[in-house]
Amino acid sequence: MADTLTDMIFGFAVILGVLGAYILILAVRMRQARSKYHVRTEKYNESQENSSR
Amino acid sequence: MPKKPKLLTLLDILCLILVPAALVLILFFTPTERVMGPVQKVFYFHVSAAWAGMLSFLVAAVGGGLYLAQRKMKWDRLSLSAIEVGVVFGLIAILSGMIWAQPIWNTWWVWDPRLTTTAIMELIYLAYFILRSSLDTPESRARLGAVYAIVSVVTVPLTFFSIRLFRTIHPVVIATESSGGGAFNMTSRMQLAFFSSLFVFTLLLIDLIWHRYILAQIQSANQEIGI
Repeated sequence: MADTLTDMIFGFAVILGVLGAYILILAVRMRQARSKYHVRTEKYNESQENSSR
Repeated sequence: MPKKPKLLTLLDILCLILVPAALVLILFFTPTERVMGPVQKVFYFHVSAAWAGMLSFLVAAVGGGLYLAQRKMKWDRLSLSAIEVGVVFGLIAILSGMIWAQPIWNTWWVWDPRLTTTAIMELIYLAYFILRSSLDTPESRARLGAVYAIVSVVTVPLTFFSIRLFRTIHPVVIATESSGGGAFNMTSRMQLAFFSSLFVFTLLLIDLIWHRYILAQIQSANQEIGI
């Protein structure tokens, strides 16, 4: 039997690493998009209030 | 702004439990292959990632078709999300395959039909993002993106059947009697781990596409507000 334990560990590390990195990037993008949404809606509401005065 | 559905939270928790469970099953429950040794265990996640990637591209093509038929942006968002997640799974399949190949074939890469068609498929789907970024309006992005998703799905059956159509050194996993030599002979424990991994990766695929879809919804809402 070939001694390929290191290769196996490397393989799983890469698989889980890529998955983890993508999930992390997705979470950061989601957070940024949500905060941008809140900022923009606040600004939009303020401008609506100012124009009604 | 779209809120996170409870079903998606449940799916998140399920994936958080099932992915490590599948890993434990592979590492401690399956027998070590006689010739290749422990590296063969990468096979379970390698095939599952390839399966998830291909399934994702099929979903993207269906989304593209539905967009062209109904002109609703939700189908474009589905198509975009499926392609992005599919590219990630495709990358995982390619990288894990290279790591498996190195000690077994004594090389990281060979221009074998399966490897070549997989690389072409991955590059074609990467080009989808270049196409989208080069277009100005959301409508043109959606329309051309849908056409592109439908046309490029041709690479999926080509990649899947490449090991049956051409001479290849890549093993045939899902074997029939006609596929003959080169097929995997899995023990019952190996089969259990294999099908469990396929199931877990399918759940993970749904979960990630759903999350990406919500992100696309928020991004398009941001574009609408930012007048």
